[in-house]
Amino acid sequence: MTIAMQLLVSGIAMGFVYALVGIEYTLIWNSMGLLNFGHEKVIMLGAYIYAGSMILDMGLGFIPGIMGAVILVAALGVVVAVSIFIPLRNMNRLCAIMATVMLGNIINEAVRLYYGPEAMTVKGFMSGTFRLGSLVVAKAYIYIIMIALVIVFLLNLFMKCTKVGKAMRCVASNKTAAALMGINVRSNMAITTAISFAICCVLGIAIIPVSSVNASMATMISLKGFAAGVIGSFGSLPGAILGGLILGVAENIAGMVFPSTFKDVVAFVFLIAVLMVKPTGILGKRR
Amino acid sequence: MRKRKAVSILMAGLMMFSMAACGGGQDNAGGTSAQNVENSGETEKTEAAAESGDPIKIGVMATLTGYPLNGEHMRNGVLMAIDEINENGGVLGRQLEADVQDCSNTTDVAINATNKLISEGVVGIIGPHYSSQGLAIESIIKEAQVPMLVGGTSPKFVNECDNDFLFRIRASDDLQAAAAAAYLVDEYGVTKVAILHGSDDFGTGGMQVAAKYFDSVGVEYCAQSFNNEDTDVTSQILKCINENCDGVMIWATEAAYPIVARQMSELGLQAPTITNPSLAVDSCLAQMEPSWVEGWYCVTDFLTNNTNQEVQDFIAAYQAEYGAEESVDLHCAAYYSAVYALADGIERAGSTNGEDVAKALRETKDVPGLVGDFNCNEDGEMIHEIILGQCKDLQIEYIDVIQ
Repeated sequence: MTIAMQLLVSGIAMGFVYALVGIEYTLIWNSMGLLNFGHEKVIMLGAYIYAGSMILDMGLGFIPGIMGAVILVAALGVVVAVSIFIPLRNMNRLCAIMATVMLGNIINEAVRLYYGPEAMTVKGFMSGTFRLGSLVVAKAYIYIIMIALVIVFLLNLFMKCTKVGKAMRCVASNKTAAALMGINVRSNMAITTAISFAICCVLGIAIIPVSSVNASMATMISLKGFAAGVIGSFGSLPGAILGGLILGVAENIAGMVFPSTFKDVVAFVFLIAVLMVKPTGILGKRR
Repeated sequence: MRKRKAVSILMAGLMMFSMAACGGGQDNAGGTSAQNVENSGETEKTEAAAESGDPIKIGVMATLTGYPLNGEHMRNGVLMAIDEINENGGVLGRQLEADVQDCSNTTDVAINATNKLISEGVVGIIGPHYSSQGLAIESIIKEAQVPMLVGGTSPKFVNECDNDFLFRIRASDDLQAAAAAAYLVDEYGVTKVAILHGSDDFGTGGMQVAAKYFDSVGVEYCAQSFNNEDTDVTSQILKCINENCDGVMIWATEAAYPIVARQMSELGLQAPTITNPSLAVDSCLAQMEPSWVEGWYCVTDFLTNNTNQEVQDFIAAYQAEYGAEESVDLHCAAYYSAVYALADGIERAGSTNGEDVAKALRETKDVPGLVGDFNCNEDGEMIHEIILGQCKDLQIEYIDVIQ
């Protein structure tokens, strides 16, 4: 029973990580019709700015460091949206995807040149365990779950209760109609990208305790996050959360039941199964 | 239309900038003169030209991008050795010159890099460091008859490769993993061992050697694998706890250690633990909390606190060349020594012909090195000793040498 609980908690935590990846993918997709395959490197950049610049170089505390990193990465999001994503949105989709991959490469090499080749970490950050009888849960997992819930709640509130959020939903629904209603579509896209980049940054910081800060820290989670989005229903925020949770828990249970080699296979078997049975995803409408 | 053109130009610019940045890692040679920074178009070097007094080109396959990154240390060690050899008159009266290629820690990039080095007429190749890449390219160097001195330690190099041009400059996992497994059994009398290993060639190879040893002495084991990029190994560790393992052996690359060590500590898998040399790498230890790995043992090729005079002289020279803050690890030490072994082979062969050099390398005997003396056996294995160390307050302390 204890083991099942431990697997469940870490599975839910990793599920929320995948869900957040799915959400930040979805935001840009809904706004611009663009798949940002460079997002994995934005997650890494957020972790590097927080660990390398805010904590190790400037010696800021954990919370001011997080705020500083999120503001910087969100600002980068605006620059990227204006200079790359918005001009790309009307191009051939393959070219646009290639450009996002190249953006990821540029970020990757810039990080390597600036911060150096060696991995780093923030000692003492979200470390330690909670003990409840024989149940031992890493604090990092509880924090990840809490952070993800706060982000989902705030995002929901923002989308439904603010003028900008409502405008984002209009743009996602119909860009032409949104423009005719007087919504500045370009600036709305820039805000969406900034929010997506800010989520990437928080995600990068949140996974520092479960993965050191290095160039490939987000490779696997970004792949699984994409799978989570498709499993739930691509383009739907609740779908991304549901897909992420299913994946996180399923792969943890699979790692216990089957030989450990098959643990990572689960996400992609789920992805293929959903694509074959219901391509629109679990929450998607049948065509 | 104009807009499309502008976007196309922007895309082309992005790609060019990205490619330039990717290549950026190769021109930071730390002030040495040994590296060939110009990739000339001389793809067909004739034997006559090679014998004319031109520099002797040595190929280097280093992980300069990708993760885990150790290529810069490896390159630094190689360039330092080449500079020293050149200052002492070179080899066969000619200067040595390094052609450093990035293998990016992926097999496809390693294959391209190998083909490039061969087309540029290198006399021998130092690296790659990882078994999976070494195994991917061994047939290419065999066909091209270019000797290669790899750092990979997978038993597959011996069991599955029949290659007279393949040499290994670190103790194989047949020795390392078996010694680590034997230490757990002999020193702690363990009855069931958790083997946590990477799912790549290196990790699986180490697990197989250890499993064979445990089978031979009647000790049970529970083998659990993970990807080096994994961010959660809870289920694997809980499985080991569930199986009541009283000893742990970890065989993986540096990338996996912080997460495995942290989760073992958090979930309570506390038992005598021994690891492969990755634990002894400074950049790996720098990511750990002392309590996670206190008292862990590791087998390794190189320790900076080894009191051997040659080792201490190398550390002093390395830090004088690259800066006192630069960490010295097995990557710079092992490949520094590999250059001397290759230079010795070329000198004894009296030629830069690949077949002659390989033959001379097979006859290598008592060439001093920082990771042990080089003595080549019939399988191309040149090092036959390892160091046993123990982690105390994030420092690996020297315990003994195992021959």
